[in-house]
Amino acid sequence: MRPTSVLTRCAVAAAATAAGLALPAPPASAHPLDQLVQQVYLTPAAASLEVEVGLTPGTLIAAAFARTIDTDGDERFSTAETAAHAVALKKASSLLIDGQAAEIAVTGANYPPYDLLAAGGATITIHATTPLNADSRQVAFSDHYEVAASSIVQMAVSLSSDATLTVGDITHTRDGRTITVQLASGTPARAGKATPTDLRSSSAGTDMKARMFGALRSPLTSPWSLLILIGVCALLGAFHALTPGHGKTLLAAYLVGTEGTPRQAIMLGGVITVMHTSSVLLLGTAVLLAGHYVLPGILIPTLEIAAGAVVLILGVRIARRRWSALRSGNHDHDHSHGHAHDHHDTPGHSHSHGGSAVAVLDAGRSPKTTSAPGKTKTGFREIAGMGVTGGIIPCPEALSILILAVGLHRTALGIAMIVAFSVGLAAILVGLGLVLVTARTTILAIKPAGNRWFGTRLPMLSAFVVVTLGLIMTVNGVLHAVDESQLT
Amino acid sequence: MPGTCAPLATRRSCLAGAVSLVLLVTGGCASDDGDSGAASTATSSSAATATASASAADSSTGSSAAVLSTAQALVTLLDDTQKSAVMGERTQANLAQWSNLPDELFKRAGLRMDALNDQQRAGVLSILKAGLSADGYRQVVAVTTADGVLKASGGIDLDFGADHYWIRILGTPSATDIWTVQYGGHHLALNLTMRGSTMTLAPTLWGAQPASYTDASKTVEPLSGETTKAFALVDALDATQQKQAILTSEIREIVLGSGQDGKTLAAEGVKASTFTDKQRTLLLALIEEWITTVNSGTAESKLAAAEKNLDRTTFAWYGATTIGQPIYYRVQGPTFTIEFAHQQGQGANAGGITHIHSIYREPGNDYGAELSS
Repeated sequence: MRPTSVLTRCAVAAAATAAGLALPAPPASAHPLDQLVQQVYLTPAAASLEVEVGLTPGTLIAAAFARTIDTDGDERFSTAETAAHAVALKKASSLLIDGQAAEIAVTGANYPPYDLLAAGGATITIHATTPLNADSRQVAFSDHYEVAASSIVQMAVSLSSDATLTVGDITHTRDGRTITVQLASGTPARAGKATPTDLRSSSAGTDMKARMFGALRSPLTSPWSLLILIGVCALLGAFHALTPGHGKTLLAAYLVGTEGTPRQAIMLGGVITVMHTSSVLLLGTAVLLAGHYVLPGILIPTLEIAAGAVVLILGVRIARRRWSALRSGNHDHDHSHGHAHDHHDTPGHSHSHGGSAVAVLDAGRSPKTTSAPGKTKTGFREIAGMGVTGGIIPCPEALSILILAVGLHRTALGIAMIVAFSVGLAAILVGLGLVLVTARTTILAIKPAGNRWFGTRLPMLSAFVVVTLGLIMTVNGVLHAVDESQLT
Repeated sequence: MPGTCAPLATRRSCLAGAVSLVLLVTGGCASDDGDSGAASTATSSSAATATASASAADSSTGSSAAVLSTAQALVTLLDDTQKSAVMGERTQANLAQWSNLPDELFKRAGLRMDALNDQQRAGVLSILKAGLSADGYRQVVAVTTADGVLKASGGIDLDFGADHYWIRILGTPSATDIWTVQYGGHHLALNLTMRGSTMTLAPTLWGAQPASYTDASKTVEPLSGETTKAFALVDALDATQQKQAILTSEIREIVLGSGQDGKTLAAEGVKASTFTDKQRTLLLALIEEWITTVNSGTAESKLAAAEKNLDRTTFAWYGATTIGQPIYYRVQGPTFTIEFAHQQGQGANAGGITHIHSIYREPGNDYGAELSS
């Protein structure tokens, strides 16, 4: 395989986003003790060739091997170090399909903790893929990766239950460093049965993620299959939004103390979708074009700091305004009949937080107001600002899809999948926002006596929580940035 | 030494050096010389207990119903804390939590034998007797005893030994639903999965170090049949068949070890369809050696399937064909995959024939995957 620059960058990005791919960390075998075991599995699957490389250092050489990856000697593996190692491994491999050099895209990497690898108790696993046509007849994969210690390279062909090609003769040459596999048409007679879903995956999200990656490698047979794929992507985005994080605490804390409208929540969803899609595309493009110089591991903490700072500033503004309102006695503003309020000097604003948070505007108005901030210039700017903080940090899953799509020359499909993913993600957050907005209004309608609590203490408490969360986000971003800056 | 590597962050790194040292000092992976040295220590209390139990197992027949009743009996012997430790959810992550590494390098779950009282330990062994054949149970005892021999031979303790084996039950023991009993440690990972009257041992890791030792004046070789019958087969092949069987590049470690669940290897080596009757008999004898570790009722149907598919079976080899030399071999059929690898390091750390890793799997049926659908 030609170690093209794009491929190298794919390896960088894929290694950097390995956590998002959530590959299970395999247990290691301990022996041979004084060698690096490089175990390669080639799997001809439906329309693709999957490559898995496992590196297991024997206990006698494990510490020295780990140090070759830990280039700054801090006894930790940083994103930059594992990315650089994945690139080295990638460059040292090559693939020929029917005698022609073929590109391969790294789709995932799993690096165990430094201390475990250094003790000889773990395996590094790299996953890669390349398209494989139904008329392909031979693949030859070579592994030239060398380390100071001697290596034993073992290669095997693993059968896939969805393969459309039969595996024929297998030959090993160059001390096992090259494997050549003959292929023929037809479903393999002895293909292993697929591992049942309950053993292969424990979550719907993981299953769908596998489907997304699989779909990228397989040809779309009909418009319906495209629609189904888009739907799956949207569902994955929705599932992703339901995982811990994503600003739901912030959203709840904010909304219970404010008076957003459903319209504002929906507008915000649109902004987040656009922002998250743009963010993935921009960061993905930067990674692909600038390679080693724009590492997500450095850029993302920067974005976290920015998003955290915005939340912090907004939180402080909310707190100050509400405190002023309380002091001036202008606080009991959400009567059951609903009317416009006297907050035109600070006509609603909003916030969100890194990782795709969402919030509904602090409109300072009842739902019946005729001048919702979304309709004003200032209000729109604030919704936009909120959407930026909510969508600025791209999810690793989405970034992985883009990078794999580019590697497989299916960029347009990849972008469509990312848009769908973002829509699904935003839909859940907006839905949550709508539930909270509606719940607040309903409670007030049922129990107007609660006005005092809702009108005075809760807005201040929510503002305090927003400030706190903004502070946490910012500090986290700074800590991540400090970690990464030590590596460059 | 582990004891001096106190901070957790550096402990494992220190272990690398510790492992190096112990292997150099003890020759744990070294040579046959180690066996005789180890022999005098083979009768540690744990080993003796296990051996005695092995004798008691001779009369056991075994069945999934017997496994169920013995497992339920064990649970009644445990306190609440022990119960919560030994019972786990049957998830892929839990099922896959086994390795050929000692406890210092690999975190296991469940209850370790050295933490149980005599009655509880007997309860665990009863489960194994119920699930395995008498030969299979003897093999378990021989493997675990070897770990005690290795430990007693000196060097730095990486937390392994004859009683450093863990029992774990994944899923709820049931006469109808699927559930799994795991028993494993440094050189053994038994995965016994039941559903109704059906049962499988796939995947099960069998290891041995030392692969030969003396216990009560008798030589014990935990994987003797698996070794000698493979040499008998390869030596019975003609030159053409041997050329087809012997891989052109070296394999030193089993390919489908821990962490490789769900994989099915493409066939390599010589096809059994080319075998003479004598060669077929030798091949069946080798396969039988592996399959009959499980109780006879289960083994019978698995042997029948193996024999029925004999023509679709392949045999691959790497290494010399003279017994006493380190080798790798693989036997694959539609219903099973067997791998055997002498650990072949270099220099002072050469494992050679005194150190074996091997695995038994069934394609598509890891942890009874076929039983669960």
